[in-house]
Amino acid sequence: MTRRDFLGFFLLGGLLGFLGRKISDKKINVEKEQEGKKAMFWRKKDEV
Amino acid sequence: MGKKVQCELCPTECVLDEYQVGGCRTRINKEGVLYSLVYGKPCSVAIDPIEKKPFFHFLPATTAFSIATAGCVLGCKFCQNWQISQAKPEETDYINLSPDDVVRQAMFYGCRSVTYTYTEPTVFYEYMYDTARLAKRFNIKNTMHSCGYIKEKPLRELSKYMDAADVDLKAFTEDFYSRICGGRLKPVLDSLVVLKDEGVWLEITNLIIPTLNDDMKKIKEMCRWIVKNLGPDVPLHFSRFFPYYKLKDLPPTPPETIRDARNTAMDVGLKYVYSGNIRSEAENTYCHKCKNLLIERTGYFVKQNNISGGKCRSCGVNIPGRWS
Repeated sequence: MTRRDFLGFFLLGGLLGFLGRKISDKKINVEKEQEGKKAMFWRKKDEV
Repeated sequence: MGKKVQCELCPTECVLDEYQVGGCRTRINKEGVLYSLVYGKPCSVAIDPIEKKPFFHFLPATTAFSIATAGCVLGCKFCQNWQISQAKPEETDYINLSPDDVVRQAMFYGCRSVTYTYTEPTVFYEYMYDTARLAKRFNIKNTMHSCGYIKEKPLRELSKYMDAADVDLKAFTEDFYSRICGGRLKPVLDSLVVLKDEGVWLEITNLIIPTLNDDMKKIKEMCRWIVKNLGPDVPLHFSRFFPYYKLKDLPPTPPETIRDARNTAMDVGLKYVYSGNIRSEAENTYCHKCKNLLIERTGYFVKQNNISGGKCRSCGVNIPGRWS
């Protein structure tokens, strides 16, 4: 393996890792957003 | 039983149909359960001098880790942060920052307090509440700058963890609150009394707007109410208006109006009255007994502090505030 090949694999690996992390973060955030946080002060309103 | 819910956080008490969002833009009814849309999603994060809030009698010359999310319970026509206060959460450039992250970052940057500010913290109540509880465990103080438009029960619950509050008392007429802010005065006055009763350190800010709330008779009435119901020790900040948002046609407040309001407030017995958004000696703190200079300020920065152990170095009288 030449120095150039090594550098190519190194950069490609880094790029894939970075993209993978971005996708995984986004997935986690989307799940959190869908879940939401239940409000503390509210009540069910009876329908008349 | 339907799936309508009623929010019980602020005096507006929005009744929401399924998937309807509240007037504050931050709460949604999802299948009969009310959720916050802004938990852990601040759109403003900054480290400020505590004097910027403004707090002049609370840990002077320290920094406050300051956060805000989108939304507001009011719709003031003069809002200085309308780009975020009158926006939906998704319209702002928010980040994900958990209460744990906030406290960790506050500690990392050496901030003595976390401040819930810029927009109205009531709209991110759950986020503020969880962060405040966590901060207290790590000996970091909690402060908020609020319009005080919140119901008694949530305010009393929050007060367990809140060390100081600066409340905007925007005017002393129901008409102003109704026409200019889209709210009511009475709940704000009630909140001030609750905060005092709960032992939260209290400061009040009054933005004086030409022609709208600059009547000296009303200002006098407001100051008398403060002395009677909250005591003469509560610091009052008269702030100068600059044209913003929907009130761009009005001129900035003349400096003389701020000076007259300050004199009026001191005449009725308030001990600590300041001017804001204007450079003058009225930014400094003077001892109410011996009149010596206690804290010299330039804008948000403290140049000298002559308070030692909460007392005036010159005459030894106790100076109201939280100094350490």
